[in-house]
Amino acid sequence: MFDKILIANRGEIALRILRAAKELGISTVAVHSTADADAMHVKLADESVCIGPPPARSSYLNIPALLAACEITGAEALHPGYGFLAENARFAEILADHHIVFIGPKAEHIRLMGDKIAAKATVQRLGIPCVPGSPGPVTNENEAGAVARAIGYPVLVKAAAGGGGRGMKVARTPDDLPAALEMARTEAKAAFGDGSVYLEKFLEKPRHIEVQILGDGRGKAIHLGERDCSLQRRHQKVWEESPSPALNPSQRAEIGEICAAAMRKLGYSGAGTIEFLYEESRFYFIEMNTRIQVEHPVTEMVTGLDLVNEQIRIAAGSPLTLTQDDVSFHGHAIECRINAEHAATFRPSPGKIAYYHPPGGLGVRVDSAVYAGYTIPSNYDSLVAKLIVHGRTRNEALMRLRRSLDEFIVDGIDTTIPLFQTLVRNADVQNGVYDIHWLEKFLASGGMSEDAL
Amino acid sequence: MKHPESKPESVPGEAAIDTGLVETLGELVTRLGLSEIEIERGDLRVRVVRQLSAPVQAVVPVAAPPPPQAAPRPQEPAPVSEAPGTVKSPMVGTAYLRPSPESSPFVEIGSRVKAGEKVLLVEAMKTFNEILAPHDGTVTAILVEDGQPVEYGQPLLVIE
Repeated sequence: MFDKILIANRGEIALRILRAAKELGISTVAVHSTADADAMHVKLADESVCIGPPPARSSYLNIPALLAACEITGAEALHPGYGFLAENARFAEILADHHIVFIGPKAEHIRLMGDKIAAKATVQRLGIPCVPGSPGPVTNENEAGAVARAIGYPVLVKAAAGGGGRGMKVARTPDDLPAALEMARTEAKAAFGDGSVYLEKFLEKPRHIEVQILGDGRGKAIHLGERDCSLQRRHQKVWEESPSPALNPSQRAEIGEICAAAMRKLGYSGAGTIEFLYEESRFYFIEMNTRIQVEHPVTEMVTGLDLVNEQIRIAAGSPLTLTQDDVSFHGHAIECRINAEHAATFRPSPGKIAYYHPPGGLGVRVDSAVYAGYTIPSNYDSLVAKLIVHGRTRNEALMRLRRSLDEFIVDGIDTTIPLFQTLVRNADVQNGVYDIHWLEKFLASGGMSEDAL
Repeated sequence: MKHPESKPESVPGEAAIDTGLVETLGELVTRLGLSEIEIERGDLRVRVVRQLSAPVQAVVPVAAPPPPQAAPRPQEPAPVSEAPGTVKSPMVGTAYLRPSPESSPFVEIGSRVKAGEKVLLVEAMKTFNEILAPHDGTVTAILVEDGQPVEYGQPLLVIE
């Protein structure tokens, strides 16, 4: 087991990693930009190193600074969290060259899944169902038109180097296709430096359902159930729950085993999530995330497993703690991502938190790095806290969520708590009847207007 | 930069505080209009000083050994660190005061330097980066030791 881990991230996930490391008796090194000198995880870590000025590229993305910080502290392993360098294959390789263990999957798998076209081809070979689409990038209009005719309109033009919902354009009819191709290519080139695009069938009202897996890197892998993350705004998840209201236990077991089997064949190491669109009882692979995800607590509440603990153990060479038969699912969990934004306009609201009271009680978990007097820096994401509730049933979880949201005080900045207070009282949400377009439609039709609130 | 703390051990032989004695002394000082009183009794010396507001008690164990120090913490930033002329580290690494182990240091307290002169090295991953004097002046403080780990923004020396 490691003696010392360097936490290469910030905010709530850095605190999350610190907690898991401490519980394993591992020393912690917090690296931070000058803007994060007062961060909670910096206060709690055994050692800290300031690695640069506020901009991420000079600090949290600064590979030489991170390596130097490992060197001067003697950290033998590094946890990248999510975002930043978590899915940077080159970074994983550089760490390996310097004999520092990257707490994450093998670099080759990060690279494989980062290329959305190659990822799709690979998982198809591994038995995972995919969205019908072009076998590779489309280079000209004729080719695109032929593929689109074959898979049937509407079609989606997607950036090969994209992901996370970015770089996608819909073409509903053959007439729309040339413009969609052009726009997607231009955006892709600007955003990702790579204008390659591919085509997929556009699903009208799918749900976003993802499966959590763990692999030991030596051919064993298990699944830990699914999360339904359909409630999204601008392709950003805001509310996640497990199990999905749309699946029954046998569907869960089936898709879970398909994913676990694929990961066994791949020899995947660490935590990962396989994301699907689900429509009319069919699963369609969209992408795989080779890292711990923001919404991992939802799975932890339902399975009782500490996923960051598992990541650290796997990286240290231990076998998986559980076999598939040992994994059991209890009750229902829901997570709300509370951001420092106005709940109706989503205008960012960085600033000082004057008063902070998080909710508590049975089945209530708050993953947050903020505290009274803390100033949210404006340089990074606006996540204030993740509120996660667990109940024996979905209804109990919903009541608990409603109660905890009403108890949650964050004074001094705007937060999206009112959005969740509205959602938890909404009939569609309460019935679990929603798809990936539901939230945008709800907001567009005035769900958070002054009259409605 | 935060370093790992070692816990200070409890002080052996620390005398239990005789609060009755202290109160008596405080009362004496006040009643007799004294400004301070000090008595020694065995291992214990007690001095009570009367301030304008309230008596301030200072208990000084005479014979007890000094408490063991926590492991020396290389540099809390000294107050002089924010003085104008402070040169801060532009990177994470290990600071060296001399070009090689056998050489003399680049500068010493009192050294006069010109802008652009080498004053320090910061090494990371076997690459040595020269720290140059940003302006002419005299070195009035050296805030790091030879071979000390430094972080971004850490004060290295002061050139006035």
